[in-house]
Amino acid sequence: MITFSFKSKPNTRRHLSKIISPALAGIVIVGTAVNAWGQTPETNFKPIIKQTIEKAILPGYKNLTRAAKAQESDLTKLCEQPNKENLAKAQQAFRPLVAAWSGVEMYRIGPAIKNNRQEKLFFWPDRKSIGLRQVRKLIDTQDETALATETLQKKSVAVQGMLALEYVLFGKNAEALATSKPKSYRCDYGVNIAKAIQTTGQEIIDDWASPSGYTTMMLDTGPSNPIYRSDTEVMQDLLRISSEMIQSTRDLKILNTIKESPEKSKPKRAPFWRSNQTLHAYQSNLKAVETLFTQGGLGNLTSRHTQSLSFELGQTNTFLMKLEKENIAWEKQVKQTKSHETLSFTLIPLEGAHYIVNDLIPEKLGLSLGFNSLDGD
Amino acid sequence: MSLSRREFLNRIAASGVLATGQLPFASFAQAEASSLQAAYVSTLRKADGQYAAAVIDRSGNLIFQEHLDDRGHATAIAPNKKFAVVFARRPGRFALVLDLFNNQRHLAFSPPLDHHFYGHGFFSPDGKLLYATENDYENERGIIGIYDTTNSFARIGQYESYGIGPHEAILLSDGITIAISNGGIITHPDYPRQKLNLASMEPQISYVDRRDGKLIAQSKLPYEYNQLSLRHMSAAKDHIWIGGQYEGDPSNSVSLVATHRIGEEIKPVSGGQTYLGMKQYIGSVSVNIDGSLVATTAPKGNKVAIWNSKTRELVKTLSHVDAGGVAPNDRGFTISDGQGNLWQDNKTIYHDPEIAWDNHISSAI
Repeated sequence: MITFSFKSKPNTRRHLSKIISPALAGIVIVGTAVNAWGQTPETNFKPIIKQTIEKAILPGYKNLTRAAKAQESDLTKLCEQPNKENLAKAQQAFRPLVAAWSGVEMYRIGPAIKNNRQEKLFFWPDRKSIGLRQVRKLIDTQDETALATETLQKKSVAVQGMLALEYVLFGKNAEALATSKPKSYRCDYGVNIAKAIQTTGQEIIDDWASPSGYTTMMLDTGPSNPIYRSDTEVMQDLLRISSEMIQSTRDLKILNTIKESPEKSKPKRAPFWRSNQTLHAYQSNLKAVETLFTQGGLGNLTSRHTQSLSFELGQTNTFLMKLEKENIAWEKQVKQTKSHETLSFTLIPLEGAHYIVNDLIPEKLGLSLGFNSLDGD
Repeated sequence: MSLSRREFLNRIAASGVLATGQLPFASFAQAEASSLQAAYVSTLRKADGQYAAAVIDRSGNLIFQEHLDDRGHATAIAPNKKFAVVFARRPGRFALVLDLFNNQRHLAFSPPLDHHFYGHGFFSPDGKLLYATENDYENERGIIGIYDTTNSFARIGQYESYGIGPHEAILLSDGITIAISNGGIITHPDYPRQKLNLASMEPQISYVDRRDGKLIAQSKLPYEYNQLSLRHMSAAKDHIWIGGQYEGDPSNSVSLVATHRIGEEIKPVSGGQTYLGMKQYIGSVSVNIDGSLVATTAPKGNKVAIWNSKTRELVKTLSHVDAGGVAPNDRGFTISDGQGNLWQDNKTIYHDPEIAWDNHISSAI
């Protein structure tokens, strides 16, 4: 039986080190041939930071608000004319919305942290099904305050984002959306969640783009900047979120779900299992990482490592795409031996991708984080 | 039974054999003993990615190190300095007991199933009991685990921490009151290091009676600070000093250090601007030997702040890259960093570029 652990695999890493850069094997210690902030004096990161914001981050959030708007539109039609066709259309609109969200999920910095926006958009993991209970309660009690964006946004973070909307569209009794009377509570609540997603997404865009916003914060670094004292720190943040997205996909979303065997697997731990968009979401998560390097320009600084990264992420997505084409419900698919095996294969290229982003690229660019600068304790 | 050098010297001293006429020998022997005597304990990561706990003497010489299966965190030192207990970093489940008299591993123990350590603990004044901060993660409940040091550190009970995420707990000078910093963040090993309730966290300080586990007092942060996770503590005279990590908007100007005394509000130390560049994170808090100064490390910001414990004013800020650990020494503080340095008075007393010192260093002086 194949077993996987949450820890890195030294053998895989050693193998990758040999392939990618024999000189870079071993652990990263800050300050190796770099200055006190870890930056090589000749590197100018500012154009890369600007390009990353303009070509990767902001387009990602604009795509999210667009997809949420489309979702709102399809849901509105469903609410006005409940029927099977309109329900199917509204459910289909959720797929591009999942892709759009999964494309920005990794940007858990600045504007997304402010006012718990990340949690408002995506309350996951929800170990105790708090969101589910709260959403059901709203629907059961037909709480009118959930039908206005302003008041909905003041409610629990768990009832106004992607997973709340997923429950409305795909959860228990969702099929009644096609047969209920026009303007049913559940349907109107769904419309309002789609609006809330747009609003939160737009707030994030505004906080990036305003004159004193996060773009300025990232580009105008220095001693008086409350967040970034140097361009190096900005780059470290961009690499950190990329690394975390890969690690989260591997460890939290796949490994933690498939466990050691089909029998022990827990498919409902994964996000978007109700809509069967789990595999679609994962592919979008990983494409977003690649986009940051390719469109954002980070890849220009480390073309060889970026090629390796694209290879590892591509390998992973090939497996995920193959599974998605089988068109089997996620919770059944994970329980099948063959599919479980395929999912377990993704852990290997993901481990490699994580090593490239977490270790090799930071070392190459003199951007390694200190040992005690990792997730705080 | 073999005696350690320290035990041997202690027994000689106790026997009164060292009369005045033998003073030169005694002085020499004490000096030599001193150089072998454990002064600091910290965990570290080695160049090959392995983890270890290391015992260092006053001069910065490595006395011995012991392998750890995973990353360690903080160390509790017994009052008589015989044992040091190294805890796993959350969500780890090991505690390793080092024998500082014989310079060797003593034993290892774990918390109950469905618990993990947060990485901190302390001994009772008589050294017979060890208290450890733990997460009863299925019930999302903070726990203070109690272990009998006289019976192979067997677990003999537990108290509530009266909050979520008890990161550090310390014993106040009365020997009775346990101060606990409940960071307020829910975590679960199924989602390692994932923070599960950032939107609803409620950090607070609880004071618990060591004799019966009853809650003596509790103080919460004002609502606007509810994302300041209170984590590390040290007691300075009549106040505890607390260091936090802020989980909210990173551009917010937040005081990361606070003080508290039972019956009062938690008071921020200095304005938010003082913490500019500290990256919203305090790694360790330590009081010097006479209680007059407090040191707080900010490893993400490469800074160490020294505060006057009475006036609460900032005395000075030191720059040390990736410095997480701080512990008292005879003259002030010893600081450890992720680049393999131990610092005293801005000079390195130990340097090994092949290691990275972990978040905390404990003093056995």
